[in-house]
Amino acid sequence: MQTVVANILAQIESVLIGKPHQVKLALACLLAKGHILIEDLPGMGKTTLANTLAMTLGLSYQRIQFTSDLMPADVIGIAIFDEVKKSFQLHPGAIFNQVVLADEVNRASPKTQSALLEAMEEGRVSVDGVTHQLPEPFFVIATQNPMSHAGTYPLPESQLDRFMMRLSLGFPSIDAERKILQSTTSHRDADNIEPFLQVEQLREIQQHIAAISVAPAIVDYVIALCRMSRQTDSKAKALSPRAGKSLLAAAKSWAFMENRDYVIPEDIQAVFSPVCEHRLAPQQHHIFDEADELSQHILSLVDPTNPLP
Amino acid sequence: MANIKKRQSKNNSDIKALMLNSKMYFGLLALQLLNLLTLVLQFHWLYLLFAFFVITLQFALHVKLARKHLKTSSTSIADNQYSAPKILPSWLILILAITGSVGIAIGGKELGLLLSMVHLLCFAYSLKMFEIPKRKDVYQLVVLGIFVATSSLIFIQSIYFSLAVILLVFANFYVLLNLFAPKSAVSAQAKLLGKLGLYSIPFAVVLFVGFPKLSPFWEVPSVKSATVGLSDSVKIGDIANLALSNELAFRVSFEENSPKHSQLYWRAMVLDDFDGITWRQDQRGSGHGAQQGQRGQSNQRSQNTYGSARLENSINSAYVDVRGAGVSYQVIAEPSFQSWLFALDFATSEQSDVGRRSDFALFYRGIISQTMSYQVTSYPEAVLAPRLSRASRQLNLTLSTQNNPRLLAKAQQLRQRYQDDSAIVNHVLAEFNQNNYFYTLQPPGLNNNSLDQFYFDTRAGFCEHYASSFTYLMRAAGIPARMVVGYLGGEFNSSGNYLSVYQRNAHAWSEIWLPDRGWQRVDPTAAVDPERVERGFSSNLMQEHSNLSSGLFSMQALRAMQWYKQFKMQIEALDYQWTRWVIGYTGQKQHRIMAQILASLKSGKQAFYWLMSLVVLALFVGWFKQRKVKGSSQHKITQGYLNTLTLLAQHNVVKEKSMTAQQFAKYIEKNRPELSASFSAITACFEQFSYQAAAQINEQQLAEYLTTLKLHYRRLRWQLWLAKLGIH
Repeated sequence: MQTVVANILAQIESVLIGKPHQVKLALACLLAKGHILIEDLPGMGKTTLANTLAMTLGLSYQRIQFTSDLMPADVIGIAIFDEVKKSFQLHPGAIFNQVVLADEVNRASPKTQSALLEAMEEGRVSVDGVTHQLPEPFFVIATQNPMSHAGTYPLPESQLDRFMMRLSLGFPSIDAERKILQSTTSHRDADNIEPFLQVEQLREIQQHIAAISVAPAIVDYVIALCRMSRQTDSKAKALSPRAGKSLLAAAKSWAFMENRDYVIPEDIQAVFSPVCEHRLAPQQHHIFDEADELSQHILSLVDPTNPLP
Repeated sequence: MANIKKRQSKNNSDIKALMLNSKMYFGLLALQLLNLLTLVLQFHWLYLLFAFFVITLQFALHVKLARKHLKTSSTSIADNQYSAPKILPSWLILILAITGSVGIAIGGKELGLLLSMVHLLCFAYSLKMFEIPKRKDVYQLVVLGIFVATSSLIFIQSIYFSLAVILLVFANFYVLLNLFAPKSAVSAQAKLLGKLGLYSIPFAVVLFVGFPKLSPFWEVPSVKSATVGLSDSVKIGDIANLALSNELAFRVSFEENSPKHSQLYWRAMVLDDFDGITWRQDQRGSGHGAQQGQRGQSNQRSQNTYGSARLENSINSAYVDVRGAGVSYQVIAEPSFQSWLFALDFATSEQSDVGRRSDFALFYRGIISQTMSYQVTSYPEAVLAPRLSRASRQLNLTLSTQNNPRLLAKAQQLRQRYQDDSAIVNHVLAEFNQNNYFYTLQPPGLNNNSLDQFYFDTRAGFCEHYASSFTYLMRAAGIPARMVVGYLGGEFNSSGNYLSVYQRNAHAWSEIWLPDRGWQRVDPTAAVDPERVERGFSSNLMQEHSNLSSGLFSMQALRAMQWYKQFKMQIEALDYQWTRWVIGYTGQKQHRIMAQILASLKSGKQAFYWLMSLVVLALFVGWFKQRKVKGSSQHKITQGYLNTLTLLAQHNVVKEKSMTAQQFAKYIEKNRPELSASFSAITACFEQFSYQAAAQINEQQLAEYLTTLKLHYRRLRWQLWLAKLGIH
């Protein structure tokens, strides 16, 4: 299983040059059944990452470009009267795909955003009183522009919370940038990306990750981290139990990618920042791979060997 | 891993040819010179010659090599290393060693056992310097040097010398340290040295106090050291010469207040045999004259003492009527290489190595070759020999020669004039007082040591002139009389609360026997110069004294300075305490102290119970604390890991809070590789228990983990301690 994962990583890295850590985090997030929010400036490779992830996993995939005039119906789909059957039939929107790339999600109106985000959490949509199950597995990869850019609607905290991770790609290194500039193929050529996984395999992996053991000491560590964020003198927003759950899930996934069947504090530390920073400081936006101050601060306050003294 | 590698490299360097840096080589040479210098007074001239030759040779070679290196290599001087030079071929060294040993064996008869052993040691030390091709040889050389330096303490024990030797030993250690850690900074080395020295103090004290003091199986030779102080025959002029010496004779600390200066007549020996020139201790009276005649002249002194020791039992002339209160004091005598001891009349000592002669003088059963302390109780009011035996009376009336006819005539005249013995005494003393007699350190010369000439013509002399002529007069007048030599007075050191008696305090006085009153001390000097008796040297005499005594310390100006006096007094007090408590800590004293400790343990039962209950309480508190810790929710293994962290933190290896166990283990591996082995084992235990298989772990595995953890915890603690001591 791990070799498959390694292959996937290698393929993505060949397309998205110079960002192995972010790629690994993104894959870990998907394997943990989480949704990803990629936040960065335009042209940093957000869409490329999302694209490649979806293609590599061999899942049905559709991209929605969010604009300010995008309607919820455009995302979810619309019920149209079928004259033959004499009934309303759903014309499924882009969301009825296993992987949905919501590009520039913060450019859409809040109404549209919430339609998407509701679907993310529930795993189903209701159109005209009829509930439709979304396909399984179901991932949303959203990208967003920094808030300062014109024409954006910031995502509310409650909705940010639904993304397991928030990633930022940042500028490439000199070497990576040179490679990017010299490469002849466009990243939009999806042809040479092969799917590496069958749906069955993906399910298997996900089950395996769910079965990874978490020792009480690790749970204590997560609890200690969450409690630390809730202290009154903390500048951060408090971490909810859902955040803790996400943290554990992501850590398990990370442990799987590190070839372990148990979680160690290093896993928690590795995923803590992407999982928690956007929950701790929703209004601050980390661009250009800035230091995740709050999460690093909280990490530095908790002793992993003796989390709850 | 790094640790192992280090060790291997160390082993390799043990085997490989040793590269010495020139500083080190010079240090070795200098130390050799210094170490040998401590014993220089004891050496035979042949060995001195040899050692001098050896050191010069080595030093010349060193200079040559160092120069060559300076020329060839442009690197800094400190870096220049060369293998120890092979000066002599090994066969020559072998031949030297054999001939030297044989030589020492032959000379052993003359040198005595101890000195020949010392010579052998130093000879080996000199030769070893030729052969230091390996690390271990340097190690041996330095240890040998320490041995040489400390063995000098057999011969000289003054505090200055001991301090110098201790410094020298530390210098040796420093060189040794340089051998093991050549790269570290001087300050770090000094610090380490100081630290180790400090740590060794408790051991040294315990060993000093507790280790059984064996009496030496050798006899410290007296052959080479001239006897010091009074001798057993006194000619006119002897004591005046002695009075120029500022050397210390002995020191006394009284248990209570010290008697007045005029009472401090320290009896050393009694001279009752006068041949007209010289006063001697009586040989014939002991009844062993024939026996002594057979013995060699050189042994006479010790024979004398042992002969007298037998005399102790002949009570009738040594009978003493003890009256009044006793005065107790401790005397610390400087080595005189003679046997007599010093005490006030009438002296008793319970020490088994101190005997008392029939003339009431104390003596040591042996030769005083090292500083020696003894405890005395004196009874100043005792009547010495209220009855005089016929033999003793006869002895003390003997006038062997008749070469002082004028004195003899005067005595007969006095006898005719006075019936009463004490009237004669008073008359003579009054004459001394009134008839222009002078007390001086520079008496005019006398022809043939004639007492007549002194008494009637020159009328200027030192104490022995007066004592001698007075005793002669008394004998001639039919009063049993004898001469006593010893010391008068002493100088009180207020900061150390003790009395120092110097050779310049040497004195001679007379003793006459009066019926029922026994032997009475009569000091004619008191009649001539009362100040001498009351307070010590008069200012006149002092002036004369300082004019006569040569050398550095006659500088009047310096002596007059108050601070100099104070300083000198402090130093002397320190020296006294050193002598009293360190040098004077003999086997007997040790025995006594141990007995005291035992007794106080027995008698102080209550204190003992208190101590025990305190210990129990401390144990209980400790146990309770432990329990409290255990009572926390954490498992033993987690607790063990956390304890390890606490331990490391105590030794300044602190885990950053956010570090995970693995990260910290890596940190330790990087920064303290010597601890890594144990700590990673502990970390592995902790991680496996905490993260990996908490659910599936069974009891047996748990116990195993716990054992491993404890084992490595102890190892870690040991390693940390070693590291703290600077040993890796």
